[in-house]
Amino acid sequence: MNAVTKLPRESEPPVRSSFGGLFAPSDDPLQRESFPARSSAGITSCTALYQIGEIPVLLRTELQDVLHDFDALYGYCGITHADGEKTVHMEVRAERLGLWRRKSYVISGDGAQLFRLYRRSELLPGLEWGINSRVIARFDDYLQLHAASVAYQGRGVILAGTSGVGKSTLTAGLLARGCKYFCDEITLIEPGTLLLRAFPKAINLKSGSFETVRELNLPLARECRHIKKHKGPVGFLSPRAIEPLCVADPCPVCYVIFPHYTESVKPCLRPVTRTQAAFRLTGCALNRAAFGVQAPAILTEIVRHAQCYSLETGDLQPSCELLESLLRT
Amino acid sequence: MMRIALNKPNEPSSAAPRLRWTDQLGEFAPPRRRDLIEHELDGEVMLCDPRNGYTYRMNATTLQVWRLCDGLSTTTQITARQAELYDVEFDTAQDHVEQLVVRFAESDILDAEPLP
Repeated sequence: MNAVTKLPRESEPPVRSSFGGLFAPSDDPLQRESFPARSSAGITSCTALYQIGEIPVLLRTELQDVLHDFDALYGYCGITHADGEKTVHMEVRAERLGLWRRKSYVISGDGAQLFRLYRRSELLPGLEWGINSRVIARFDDYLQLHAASVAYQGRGVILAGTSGVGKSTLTAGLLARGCKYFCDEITLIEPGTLLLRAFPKAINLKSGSFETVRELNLPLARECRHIKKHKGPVGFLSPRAIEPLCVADPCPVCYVIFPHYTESVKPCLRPVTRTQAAFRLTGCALNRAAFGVQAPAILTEIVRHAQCYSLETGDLQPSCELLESLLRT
Repeated sequence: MMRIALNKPNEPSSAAPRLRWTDQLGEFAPPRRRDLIEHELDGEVMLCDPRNGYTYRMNATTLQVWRLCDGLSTTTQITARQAELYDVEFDTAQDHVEQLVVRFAESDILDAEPLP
């Protein structure tokens, strides 16, 4: 299911936040209290609901800048109703434990504390990763791979590999060339049909890719403002900023690519055997424990019908041109 | 032969006892476990061990040796067949086959009895 913006019916007056999102009325069964609610500290907390592809996310926070930043990326998929059982509940709140203690920020997912952070610049990356961790923990309806995925004319492409191989940057480049988007970090595979399903998170780019993305005239949202621990400055790119109708429909996997970035090399595609590809994808499975021996079986079937390559990438443009020439054949 | 672990602790194995390697390796007839799940693709195989979730990839050469681990063919016999197939010296093939059999045993994918 693509990300959908669902407007309230005419009889239900929407409640507008200060930044323009739409919220459900106070009698919505999904919402437990009317809002904007006031905490005992007198701070207004806000709740917003989004349908990010297959995943409904409810965000609750009193921090207006966090809400604003998140809504800047996902406001287009704000909704008023969601399946309560499936919804990922995220909360971001500020804490000061005692008069002389440093102020901190707690990110919770589905009621459990996930992170305690001390810089506001870490909040959006922390929130994004918190959502990812809850999806990995809960959504065993799908086999989840640590991989990016896009679609070209109804044919799915998986870009699989560890952090730092260039998946997100390649994804941004391919979207700029007209591919449709599933996700840049967690690829969802429906086990029964083997179709790719969308989880169109904002593309998370490290600082090394900022210049490359600028050259493509792609609008990074507040680049350099966010810090992700161990990865340094990161920027977020809303896929909808590239193309309003960019979210892909479910489709089969036709290509499995293992990128590896080396600076300034000439891009090169090398075939890998299907068994190698299935084996490497099994290593990328994030919720493999939930699937047991079914995970390799699913991935074997995926690669049986796909072309599999390793891709040595250098500069983004020639790498995307090479991939595009493969996808056109 | 590569291996990936499942994301959970290994259960204690109550499977076949460990091999003790002696000079009589050549007389040993390695039996492959029949409960392993095989996924064959283009002449190679991905093996899944349901006991511990480990996955193994075997290329075509390793797969040939694996298929001959039927509990009846000794390591020496397997070596002779590989040497003939690949037209190499017996000693060269022997090193390769014995290393593979040891790897199979260390990976707990053989139904192995202790050597006397």
